[in-house]
Amino acid sequence: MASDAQLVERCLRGETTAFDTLVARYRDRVFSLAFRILGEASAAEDAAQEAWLRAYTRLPMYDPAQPFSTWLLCLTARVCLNARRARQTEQHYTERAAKAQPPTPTLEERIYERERQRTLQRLLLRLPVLQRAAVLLYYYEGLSVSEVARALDVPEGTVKTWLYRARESLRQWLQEELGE
Amino acid sequence: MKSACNLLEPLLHAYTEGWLSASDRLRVEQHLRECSACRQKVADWYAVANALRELPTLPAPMPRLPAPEPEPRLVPRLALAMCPVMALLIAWHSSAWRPTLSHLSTYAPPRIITKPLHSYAHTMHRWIAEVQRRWKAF
Repeated sequence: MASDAQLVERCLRGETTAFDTLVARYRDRVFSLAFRILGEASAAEDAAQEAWLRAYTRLPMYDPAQPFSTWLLCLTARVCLNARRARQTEQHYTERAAKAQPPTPTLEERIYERERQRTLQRLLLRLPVLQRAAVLLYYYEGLSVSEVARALDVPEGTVKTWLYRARESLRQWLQEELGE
Repeated sequence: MKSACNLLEPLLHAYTEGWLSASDRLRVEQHLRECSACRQKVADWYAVANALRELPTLPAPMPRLPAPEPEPRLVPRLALAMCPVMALLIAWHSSAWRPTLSHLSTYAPPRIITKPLHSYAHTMHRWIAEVQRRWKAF
């Protein structure tokens, strides 16, 4: 199986099928990250599509020294944050996400299998968006603090503070939710 | 103990992430041995981090297909269908293409063509003229 770097190289030589392989390899991860940052399936789908488009057009700027997945996921996080800014204000968006519990199962409902994950996702949406992006890139995607800092264009110390605050907030909210 | 907990809280977080120097790590571990509240907090933080790491990867929906192209409207379709007819008419009206009796005597054996070709053409010509007349009247 060709490595990501080899596929990128082939893509830059004009082999479009190589990019298709990259998409097939990472489309679920890109969508998942977008969904967890934005909290809506349709918005996540748009953001994922935009991220792939941007990845394709910026492929010549990709530095093979870093893993392709890291580059792609950082790019996805930035696209999501931009999409978020372009949409409504944080408060309105959070309220909408919190109220979004229709009686019939939505796409989000069907995607989630377990109550715990649903709770966690809902609580994630209560975090400020930059903290949320930092938490997801660090814990969920396994990026390092320096990579997260570069992706979000902030100092490493800020990322550490966000991670601390986010984890503490989630701990408190989970305790309230679970009644412990 | 409360003030010690408050002072150490940022270090506790760094401890769970493995970001501390050896001396700070020993300090935190010493405190954790003595303080059950902080032990509980550290355990909770680990639980939160693990829950975040274990969030499942979601299946991306299939890419949206582009909208189908609209059906061509009736008028363009009729125009397209009329093209061969128009070509025949133009060819017919041009004298260079119109068959004459001399053509018939050269190319068409009289036994096969029971009716002279020009009579068919004449009928068709009359029919077209009639259609044109009615169209104008309409």
